[in-house]
Amino acid sequence: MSAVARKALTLLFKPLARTKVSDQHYTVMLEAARRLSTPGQPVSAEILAEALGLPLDVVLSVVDQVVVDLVLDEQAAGSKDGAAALRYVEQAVRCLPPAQRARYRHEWRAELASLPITHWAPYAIGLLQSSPQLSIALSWPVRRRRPA
Amino acid sequence: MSKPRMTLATQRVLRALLERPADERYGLEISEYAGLPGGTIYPILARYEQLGWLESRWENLDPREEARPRRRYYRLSRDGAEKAREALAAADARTRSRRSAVLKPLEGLA
Repeated sequence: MSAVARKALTLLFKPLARTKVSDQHYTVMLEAARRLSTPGQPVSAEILAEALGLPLDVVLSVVDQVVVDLVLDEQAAGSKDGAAALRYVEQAVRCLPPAQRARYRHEWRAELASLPITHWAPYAIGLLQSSPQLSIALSWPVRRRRPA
Repeated sequence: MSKPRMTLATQRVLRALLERPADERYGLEISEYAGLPGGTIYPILARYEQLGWLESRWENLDPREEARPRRRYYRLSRDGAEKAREALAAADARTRSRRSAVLKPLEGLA
């Protein structure tokens, strides 16, 4: 891999690692970014799995998710509304309890991918409006267990 | 944990899922079947999943081949389908009794 390609990939992966979608996602992406930014360090899904002691399936699913996320981001970049919709989804996700964010981020982005891009923004606004309610619903069992 | 309130939106979601209880549906499909805006259904789905009425799982696909993320699929658990039917029947009975109370002619006017 050329130095330029390596640098480009580093720039691509480092922000993704920082977003910390989930602990596993973060671990895999951080290791990938660390290796890509160190000349001479080999990088592949198999090498990452071995280095991190994770099953290959897990590493592949994280990498798949990154690739699909990039496709979605690329789609959104071509449209002002699309980019706004992804921002609304991120805001909606931030309203949720931290342990649930990765699941709903993934779930909602998958829902957006099923819609024409012109429908993304209204759908994402709906998610944003109902996210406080969802947050309460997700925190509900924990709160009810506390003594009065 | 007590049962959540059986609002009209909740009833619509449960009815949509009960149409074909064995089928799995993702969020957008459920909101279309229920005739509700997309975001509205997630608090309802979350509550019923916590109660064990609903089960959910990630779709089995290769995202690279399909070029789209995996969807989250929901369906009623066996126990949940039974409880949902009972809860909807009770809600219908409440609605009927409320309607008949409103429509009952006042004494002396009949």
